[in-house]
Amino acid sequence: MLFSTPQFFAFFAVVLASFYAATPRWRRPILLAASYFFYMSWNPKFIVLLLTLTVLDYTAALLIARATRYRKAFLIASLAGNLGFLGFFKYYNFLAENLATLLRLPPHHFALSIILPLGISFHTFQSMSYVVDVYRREQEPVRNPLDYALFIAFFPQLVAGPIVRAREFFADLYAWVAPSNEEILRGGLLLLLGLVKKMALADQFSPLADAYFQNAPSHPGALAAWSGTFAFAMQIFFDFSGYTDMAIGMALLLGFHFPVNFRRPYLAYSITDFWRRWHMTLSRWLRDYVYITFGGNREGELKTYRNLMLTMLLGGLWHGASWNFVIWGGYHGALLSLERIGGKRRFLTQPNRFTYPLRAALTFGLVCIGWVFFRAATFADAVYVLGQMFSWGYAGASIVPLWLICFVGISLVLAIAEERGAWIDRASRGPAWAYAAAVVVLLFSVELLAVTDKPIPFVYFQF
Amino acid sequence: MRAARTLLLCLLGFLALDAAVFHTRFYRAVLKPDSTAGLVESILTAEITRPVHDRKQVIMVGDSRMGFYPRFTDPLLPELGYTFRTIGVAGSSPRCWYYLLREVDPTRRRYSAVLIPLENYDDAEISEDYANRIVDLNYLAGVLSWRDAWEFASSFRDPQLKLQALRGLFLKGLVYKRDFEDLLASPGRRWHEVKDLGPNEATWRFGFQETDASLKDVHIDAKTGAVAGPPEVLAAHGDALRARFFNTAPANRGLEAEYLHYWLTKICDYYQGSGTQVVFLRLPRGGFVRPDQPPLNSSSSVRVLSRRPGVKLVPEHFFDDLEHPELFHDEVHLNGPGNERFSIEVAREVSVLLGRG
Repeated sequence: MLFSTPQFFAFFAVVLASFYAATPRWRRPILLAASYFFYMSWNPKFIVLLLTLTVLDYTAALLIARATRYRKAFLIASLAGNLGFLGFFKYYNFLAENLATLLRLPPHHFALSIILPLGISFHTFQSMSYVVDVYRREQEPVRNPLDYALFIAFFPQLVAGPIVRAREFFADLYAWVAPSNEEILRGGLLLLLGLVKKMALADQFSPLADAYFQNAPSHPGALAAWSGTFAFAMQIFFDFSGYTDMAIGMALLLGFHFPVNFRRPYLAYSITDFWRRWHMTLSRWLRDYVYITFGGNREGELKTYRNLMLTMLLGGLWHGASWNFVIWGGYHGALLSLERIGGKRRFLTQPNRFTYPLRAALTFGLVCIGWVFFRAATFADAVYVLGQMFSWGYAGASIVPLWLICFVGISLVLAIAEERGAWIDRASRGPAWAYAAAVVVLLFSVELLAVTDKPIPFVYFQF
Repeated sequence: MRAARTLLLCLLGFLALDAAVFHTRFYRAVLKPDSTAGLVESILTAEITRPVHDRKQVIMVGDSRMGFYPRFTDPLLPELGYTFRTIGVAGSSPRCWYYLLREVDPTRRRYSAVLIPLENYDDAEISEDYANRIVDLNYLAGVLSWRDAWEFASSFRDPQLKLQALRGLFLKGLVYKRDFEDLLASPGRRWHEVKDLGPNEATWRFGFQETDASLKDVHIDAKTGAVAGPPEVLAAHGDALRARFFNTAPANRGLEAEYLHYWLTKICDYYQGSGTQVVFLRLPRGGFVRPDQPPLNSSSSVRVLSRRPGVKLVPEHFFDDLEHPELFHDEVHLNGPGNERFSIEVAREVSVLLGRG
C-alpha cells in the first residue's frame, strides 16, 4: 500500500475518522492496529519480525533501567538482536557473495533467497536509538508495551522514516493535544505537496533515470550522462522528500510532530551544508550514535577525519548491501574531510550572495557525481557513466525534456522562496484564499502531471 | 472551524478551475488533432458546424469497418434525396455512439435517420467484453458531463474500471494527461497542429483514399485450415485471417447481448418519438466468411428493437454481394473499391427504407 495510491488515501481517511471519532482511551490502540494492518498489507509474515524486535527492545530497555549490574550486557543483547536481524536480512547475501569471490567460488554459492522486510533499516535504527538513550539515561523506559509498539510501528514513518527519537514521539503521545487549525492546514498542505513531489515530479524523472542507467552505452556523450544523472538526482530528491512531506503531514493531522528531514538540500553551498539538509534524521542518528561513539571531534584532527570517514562509510552501507553504496559514503566522507581541512569558516558559513550561486552549483555537481555510484548497478557501470560525464568528444543529447527542466526551475524558485520566506508556514497561517490558491495549483498538478499508469514504489522503500 | 472552511474553499476552488478548463470547450480546443480525443473532437466539431438547411440528413456512427465516404454519395443527392454524413471513429463502440449522437444532435431534430452498423443481428458473443473497454473514456472525455458520471461508470462490469471511469469523468485532466504532457513538450508544434491540421481534418477525411490492395489472390481451405496467397499479403494479414476464419467462437455468456441490449436500447430510446429513425445494418463480414455463422437469435437486441416504430433493419444479407476477397484489404476492412460500393449501396438502401425524399 504505497502512500501515493488511492487505496492508501482510503485507508488514511478511515484511520483519521476512527481516530477522532474514538474516545482518547481507544486512540492509541486504533493507531497501533492501523499501523500493523499497514505493515501487513505488504507481507503479513514479517509482522513476526516486527513484534520480536519490539518485545526485545521493550524488555531490554526495562531491564537496563532497573538493573544495577549487567546494564551493558542487556544493551549488547538488544543491539546484537537488532543488528543480527538487520545483518541477516540486508547484508547476508552481500557478505556471502564477497566470501564466495574470495574463495573463488561462483558468486551465488552461499546465497540464500532472502526477502528484505519493509522498513527494517528504519525501524531497527529507531528502536536501537531508544535502547541506547535508556542506557545513556537520556530516556525513561516506556512502561506500556502498546505505547512502545506504536513508537516502532507508527505507520506514517514505519517504512522510510523520518527516524524519530523516542523523546520526540513520547512527548507527543503522552501530552497529546488535538492539532490546531494552522497545524491541520499545514499538515494537509504538506501531504499534498509530498504527493506532487512524488507523483508529478519524481515519477516523471524515474523512467528517464532508469532508461539512462539501465543502458548507459546507448546514450553516449557528456550531456546525456549529466542529464541522466540529473534525472536521478531529481528523482531521488522529489521521491524521498515527497515521502517525508507526506509522512510529516499525516503525523501532523494525527497530532504528532515529526522532525524535519529535508531542508532544500540542493540549495546547499558545501557538502557539509548538504548533509545538514539531506535526510537530516539519519545524519542526526549517525552523529549521535556512531560519530560521537567513535569519539567525534574530541580526539584530535586525524581521528576526527577517521571518524568522519567511518561514519559516512557506514552511512553508505546503511543504504544498501553493495560496494557502490560504500563508495558513495566514502566519497561524501572524503569531501566532508576535505572541507574540514579547507577550513571551517570557508565551508560552514553562508557565502555572500555573489559567490553563493556558484558554490551551490558546484556543490550540486559534486552531489550528482556521488549519485552515479548510488544509482549505477555495478562499479563498472558507475565508472563508465563518470567517464562519459567528463568526456570531451561527442556531447550526445539530453534525455530530460525541456518542460520537465522548466518544472525543476519552478521548484527551484519555490525552494528559494521557502528558504527566504517560509511560504508553507505563511500559507497555513495566512488568509484562506492564499492557502486555497496554493492547494488548487497543487491539486491541478496532481491531476495533470501525476504518473498514474502504475504506482512507482518510493526509492527509499528498498533500503 | 477555520480549517474546515479553508479546506472547503480549496475543494470548491479546485472544482471550479477543473470545470472551467475541462468541462468547457477550453481545453478541447487545443487537443492534439491526431490523438483519439482530438480526432473525436474534430469530427464532432465538423459535423456540428456543418450548415444544415433541412432535416433530410442521415448520420452514421461506427468503427473502422464502417467504410462509408460521403464523397461517393454527395453526387447522388438528387437521386437519394438525403445527405449522408458519418461521425464514425476507428475503435469506437456502441457505448461511444450513444454519447456521440447525443452530442451532435442534442435537440433530436437534426436527422431523418441515424445509421448503426453491427457485426451481426444475433448478439453473438465476441472474445472482448466491450463493457470493460476503458479506452471509451478517451473517446468520450470531451462529451461526457458530470450528469453522465453514474451511468457511464456503472456500465463497466469490472469494479476497478468503474472507479477509473468515475475518476476520469470527474477529473478529466487524468484522461488528458498524455495530451497535456505532449502540449508541454512542444507548445509551438501544438499551436501549428491545432491551427493547421484541425480545420483540415474534415476535408482530409472527406477525401481519404483507402488502399486498393486486396485479398484477391488469397485462398482459404476451410477443411485443411490452410491459408495460401502472395507472401507479402500473408506476412501482413495471414495470422489475422487464420484467427478470423478458424478460431473457435467464444462460448455464449450473454455479455455481448447484455451490452448491446443496453446501449442500442439507449439510442432507440433517445430518438423515440423524435421523428428520427434508427436504422441498423449488418456490415459485410469479410472477404472470407466462415461457414459456422452464429445461429439465428430471434430475441436479439436489434430484432426486438426493430419491432418498435421508427426502428428499421437493413435486410441481413443485403451486403453479402460485397463479401469477396477483391473488395477487402484485410480480414475485415473494405478496400477502396469496396468502400465505394458499400457507400453507394448503403445510401440507396437507406433512402428506400426512409422513403425517397
